[in-house]
Amino acid sequence: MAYVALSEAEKTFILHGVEEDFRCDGRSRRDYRPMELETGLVSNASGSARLRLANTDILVGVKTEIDVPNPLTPEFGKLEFFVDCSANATPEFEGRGGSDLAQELILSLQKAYESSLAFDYRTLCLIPGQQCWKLYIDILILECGGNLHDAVSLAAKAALYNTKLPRVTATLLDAGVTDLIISDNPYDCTRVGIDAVPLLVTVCKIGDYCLVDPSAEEEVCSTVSMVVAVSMRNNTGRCGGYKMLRPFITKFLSTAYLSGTHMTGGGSMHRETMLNCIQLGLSIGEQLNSLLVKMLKAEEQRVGPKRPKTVGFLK
Amino acid sequence: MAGRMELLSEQGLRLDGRRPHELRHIKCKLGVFEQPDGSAYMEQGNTKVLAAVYGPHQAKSKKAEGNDLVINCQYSQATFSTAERKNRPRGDRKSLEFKMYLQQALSAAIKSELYPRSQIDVYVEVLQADGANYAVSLNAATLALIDAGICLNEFVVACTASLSKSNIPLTDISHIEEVSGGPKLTIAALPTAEKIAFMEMSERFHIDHLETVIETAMAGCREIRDILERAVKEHLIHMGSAADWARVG
Amino acid sequence: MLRVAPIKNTLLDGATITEQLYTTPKDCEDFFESLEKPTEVKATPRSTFIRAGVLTTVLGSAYMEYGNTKVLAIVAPPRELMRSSARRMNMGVLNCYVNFAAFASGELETVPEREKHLGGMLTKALEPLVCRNEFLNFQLDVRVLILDDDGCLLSTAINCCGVALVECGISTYDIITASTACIYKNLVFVNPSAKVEELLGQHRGADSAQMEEHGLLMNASMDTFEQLAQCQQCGYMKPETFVKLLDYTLEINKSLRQLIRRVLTDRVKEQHVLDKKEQEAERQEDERLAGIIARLKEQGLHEFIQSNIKEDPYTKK
Repeated sequence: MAYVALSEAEKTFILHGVEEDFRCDGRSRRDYRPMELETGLVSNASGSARLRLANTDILVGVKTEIDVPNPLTPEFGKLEFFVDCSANATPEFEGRGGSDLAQELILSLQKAYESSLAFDYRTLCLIPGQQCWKLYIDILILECGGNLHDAVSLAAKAALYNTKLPRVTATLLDAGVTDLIISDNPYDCTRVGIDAVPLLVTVCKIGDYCLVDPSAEEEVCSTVSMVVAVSMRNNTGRCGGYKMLRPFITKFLSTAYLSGTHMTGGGSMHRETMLNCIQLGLSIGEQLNSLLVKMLKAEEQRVGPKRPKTVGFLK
Repeated sequence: MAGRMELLSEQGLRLDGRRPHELRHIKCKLGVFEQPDGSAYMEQGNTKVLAAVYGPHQAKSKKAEGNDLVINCQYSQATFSTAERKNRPRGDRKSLEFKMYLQQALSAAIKSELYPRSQIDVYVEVLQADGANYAVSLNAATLALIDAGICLNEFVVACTASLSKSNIPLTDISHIEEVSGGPKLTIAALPTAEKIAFMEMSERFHIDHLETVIETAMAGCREIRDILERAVKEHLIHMGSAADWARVG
Repeated sequence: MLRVAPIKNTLLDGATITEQLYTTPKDCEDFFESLEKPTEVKATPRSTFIRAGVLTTVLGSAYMEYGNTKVLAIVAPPRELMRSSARRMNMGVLNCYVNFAAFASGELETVPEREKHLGGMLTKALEPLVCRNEFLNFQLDVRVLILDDDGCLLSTAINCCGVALVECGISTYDIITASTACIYKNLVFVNPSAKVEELLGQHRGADSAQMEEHGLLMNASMDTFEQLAQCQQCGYMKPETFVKLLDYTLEINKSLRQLIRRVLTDRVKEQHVLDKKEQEAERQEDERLAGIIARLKEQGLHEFIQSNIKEDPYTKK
């Protein structure tokens, strides 16, 4: 993580702010910083998104490739994440300096997307057992202003929403060989389903309180944080009906699922604190998800199905 | 295809519809990021580059030898920047080469006598590559250096040029023209002083044409310089409007 | 096991016959059926064997068997930090490296990736445990060798490292214990075996039409102050399932803690006895020397040397 030097006094100031529920930038503990999102600005990629969360700047490009599915999961396509920490963000990332951070982000994303319930790998299948799409989700971190996990997952989801896969038809040739025909029409595309795609919410513990969307300074003050991957599913499915539900969790039962959660930051926490963190993460994740989907829809309306007019970094 | 593809149509238009001396559309912006001391974004046609400058700061121990200024560059290309996915963003031969060229051209422009025992970091990130990557990177780096307030002798700008089959020089080569196999000349110049800081060429043409091609590239450099200068002025007026500078402009 | 190898039979005329090698959801179902399923959830650890100080060459070592999973952990005393970039942190740096023994895993291609992953997770789990402020600008290397993998790898490695750290004399805040539980098709497996873990990992819930939770939870806790050092969940589950699995693992951690505690106290006692013996030997040696010195004083130097000269058996002839 980019290094921020803070004195004890500054740390105490931030800590007291968190205790009062009035953080340095005027937010409460449950507020996010302003976000800017734009999709479809990299013309060399099948899908792309740029997210700016205050000072955190992420650019995601999705590239596609046709590959052979894993023999154990013949009906599944493939996803591969790649994170590059650009030296633009901080000189520390020069050369291979950012690879540790990149690795951590890749692992969190991989874990969150691992389950086929979180990401429907079937939509990436062309011919079961023979051909499938492989999506490369390439994430470029251009500036670090804290809360990278959340920003990266939001940008990745937006980029997946923006991804257009050309329609592919298969013809059966002699001797059982199949041939793929990729549609020539650039508008004849399929999309990737993103309904259940998880979002990561980092819940940061500062002092005795939990908060979301920590800035870089707040991250320094925190002893431990919990990365909660929240996936929203519309169908409630068959509920197991466990009796030992905790009242505060039942509120979100209908749709929110955990799809990969872990702790970072080198500290430890109490069981109850952790449950609080998860509860907070779930509720924030739910709101964030619905807002993101709304924003993406609005964005699509703005640019229309034709070639979008992009703003990029020129705003 | 035997021989190379014709870069110029019979009507005298290029593959993307430009006239021979026409530059691609340039858009640029200074100060895109908060954290670096200077940053700039530059679009030349479909080539999009971000540059960030950190410094001048104390030189890292191993690099500082003597009193000189260390200019530390890094050139990296996003994995999704090209049509074919790149496996790694930096560390390949080409980006190391570009890094050296950047250092070379920038050291000609920066007033290094003002910054003894210091280091300036210039990081260039190509977001989308569509020809003339080096030239656009250098232009973006110049803007970022200006945004960081580092003293330059002059704008250092780069431009590419090529020669069509009918011996008509072409300015600002796009990717498609690069790969369809014409010669490519890259020049980094200090246009007002009419000095060339760096020159690189690939493939061949007759030496008689060299002068005209260089002149074409220099003309391109001058044109880009004017665009950059305008952008810098606009940025300053915008930034300084709070301090009532606008009337000065 | 649920493994397939793509085989192509090449005929003489160059044509190939590929066999239907791919697994279907039904195969997974069959595989699941073949597994031994728990009738009730018993939150108890597997049969465990732990021994601290198994190696003489390193200061801190521990060996642990958790059912069939066998792990060896080695801790060397802190040494000065190599990378200067990490130096400005006001904490010591903890590095964990995990290696599979060549015979430990069937799939060789994924080994380097898994090693790296486990190493990272292990570091994260041990960071809250070690008093890192005690060795500023130093790094502590923890190495783990996996001899046999039958599930619960990470949690076993954490337990084993906890013991090795104590054995090495590194100050820790508490005793760390870890365990794993998972859910598949509404069945809870505590301490899942490698087979169950494979089913979870590879198969990834073939039938998403009918919602079924599947997932794994690894929890490392320090029970004195009821702190969770690391809690890692993967798969897809409801929050209340998470809580349920968490409570199971906490239960197991409690009993493991008893065990590790006993092992550590036994080890201290054993060491004490050894130390006693050593002291005794030293004392005897001292006595012997004292006797010699006394004799020397009594006899004077010349006489003492004469009395100690023994005839050389070779020159005697």
